[in-house]
Amino acid sequence: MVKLKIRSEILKNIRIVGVLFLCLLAIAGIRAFTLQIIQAEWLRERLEEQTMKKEVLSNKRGTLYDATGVELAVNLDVDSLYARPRQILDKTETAQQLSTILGISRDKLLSLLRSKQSFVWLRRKLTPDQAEKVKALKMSGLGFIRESQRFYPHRELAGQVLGYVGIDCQGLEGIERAFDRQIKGTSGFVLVHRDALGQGLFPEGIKKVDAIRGYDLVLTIDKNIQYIAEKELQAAVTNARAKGGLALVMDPRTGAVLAMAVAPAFNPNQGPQESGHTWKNRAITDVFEPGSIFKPIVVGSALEEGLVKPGDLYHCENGSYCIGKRIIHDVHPHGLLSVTEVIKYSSNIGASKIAQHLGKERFYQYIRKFGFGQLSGIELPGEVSGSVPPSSQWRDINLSTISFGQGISVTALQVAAAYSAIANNGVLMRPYLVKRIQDEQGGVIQESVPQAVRRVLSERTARLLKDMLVTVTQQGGTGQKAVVEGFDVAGKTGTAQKIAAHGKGYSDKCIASFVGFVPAQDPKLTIIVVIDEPRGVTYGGVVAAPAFSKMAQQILWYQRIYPESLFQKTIQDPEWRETRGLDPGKEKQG
Amino acid sequence: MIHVISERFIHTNILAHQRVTDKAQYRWLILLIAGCLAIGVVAGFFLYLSVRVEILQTGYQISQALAEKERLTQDNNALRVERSALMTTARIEKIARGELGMITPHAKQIIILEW
Repeated sequence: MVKLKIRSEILKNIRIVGVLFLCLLAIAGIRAFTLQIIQAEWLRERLEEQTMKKEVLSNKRGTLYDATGVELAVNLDVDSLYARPRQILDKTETAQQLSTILGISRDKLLSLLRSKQSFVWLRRKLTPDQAEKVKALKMSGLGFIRESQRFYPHRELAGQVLGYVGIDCQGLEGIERAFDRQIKGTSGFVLVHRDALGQGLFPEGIKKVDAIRGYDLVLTIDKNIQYIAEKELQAAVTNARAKGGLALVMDPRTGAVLAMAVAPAFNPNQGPQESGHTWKNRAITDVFEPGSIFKPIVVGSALEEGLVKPGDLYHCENGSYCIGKRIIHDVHPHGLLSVTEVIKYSSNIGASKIAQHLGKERFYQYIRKFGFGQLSGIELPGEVSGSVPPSSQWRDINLSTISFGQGISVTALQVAAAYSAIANNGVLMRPYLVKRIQDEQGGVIQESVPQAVRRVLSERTARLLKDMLVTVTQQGGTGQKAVVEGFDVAGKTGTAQKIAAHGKGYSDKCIASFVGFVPAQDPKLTIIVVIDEPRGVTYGGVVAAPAFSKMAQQILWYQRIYPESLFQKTIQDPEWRETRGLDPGKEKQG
Repeated sequence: MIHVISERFIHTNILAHQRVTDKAQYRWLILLIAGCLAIGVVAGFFLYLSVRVEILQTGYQISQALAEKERLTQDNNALRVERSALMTTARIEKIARGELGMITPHAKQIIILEW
């Protein structure tokens, strides 16, 4: 009986222990299920966080070079400062100390540090000096991430052409925007093991996606020509106490833009916020009524059509000519003028009569053939086509005013391209700014070739027109101040009234301009200078022509294009050798 | 009964002794093999450990070398940028005119030599 009782007790205890073990087993099973199934993904991430390090390989934006291989835009890696607010104990003190270094208000920093987010940017892309100072504070909860920053070492030089990039190095304006896809590259990453100290082991990592560097661009812009254009433009704007100005230098044989200057200048290192609207490339985004620089278009068209010859005479009505109810004036009254003299003395009445001879439809067709009223095709974003109303909308007065450049609007680039067509024996070339796209090693990815758009004038007409334009810079012409010593200059002055702000009629403000090419018989440069709202004397021949002359002189010398007169003395010239004492033997003999 | 038991004992003892003798012959061999294996395992372990440590050291060295290379590349980039900034035409002209007293020559002051 006793034995049975003991046995029953043992069995009971065994059952209890069994149940206990079963419970423990069930708990272990549930825990295993939770860890292996439910929390598996989260735990894997935690593990990777602790033992793996993902290092971002930032994309490197390609370099922008000028035509001579000088860097105009490069990339530098700089520190960006972040905070992990939960790890910062004394937020007020941290904000106070950072405020003086970063130049951000203490309150703004404090609100960032009190954020409930685990990560906040305090300041992106610090200067090296700022980074050093913050690192010296050795504050917990602050960290740095290396980021790529675009830097323009020549500051304002060609600022509007190059454009600028955003905080994440994305192109926002100019060449940077137009070629963003080609130059931005792609970022990569490497996944590495890390030890207890957080140091990376095995640099090749267990997974690696290489960052791809963007392509480099070689521009047609020459930094020295650009500098000359900007310097002389700024001087002209200052002298004329003008609102601003433009200058564009082009190779008429190819359409390559050698310089594109806009005043006031823009420093892309500062970004658009600190520079107002100076970032706009007004050479392609702003239109203006061209004024008298448009006269060669009507004369060239009439010559091409065989309607006039350079010596044909037009009566210029002594400075006052009535068309319907409107009266057209010349600055100086003239009687009979030849077609060449109409250009030389810039007669509105003469141009108007030639336009009447040509007719609305034919004139309109030539305006279009010269490239006005349409995009030039240059690679920059934001180009506008200007405004050329269709000939069906023209009244008689419109035909006359358009002949001397009022009633249509154009861009400086269009005018430069049209004059380049005259210089280039009648062939219009497409303007371009990017010479080559290349990889880091200089391997050519894409190369621009000069592209003829169409023939606008015959060679004969172009030659006649060149000769007529040369007279403008000769004695008595309106553009004498554009003369370049030792060279014939072909060009035209322009002074156009600006449309009134309310859109009706004209204001008393002007645009003064000069456009031309040099050397006239074998043109190497087309230059346009436009001065916006000069004060005092406003004539293009006084305000813009001198700037043209100075630019052309310096650029020709820079390009080693010398006047013929300088070649008279040579090393073989006995007289010259004697004055330099180069033949001492002969002296002794003598 | 006692005789039978003692005889059986004697016989079993003899047999046991014989087995012990046989085992003793193999024991040294087994011990030798086990010892060699143990030494091999331990040596292998240490070899593995040393190789592993060597790999880790090399990994660290490569990491440091790459970091150094990256730093030098950055320095080089910064120097290139500085050089570019110093080569600006505006700065050169300012030095030429301001500090060195140079001027742009007039056309009459220049003679082109044809060799």
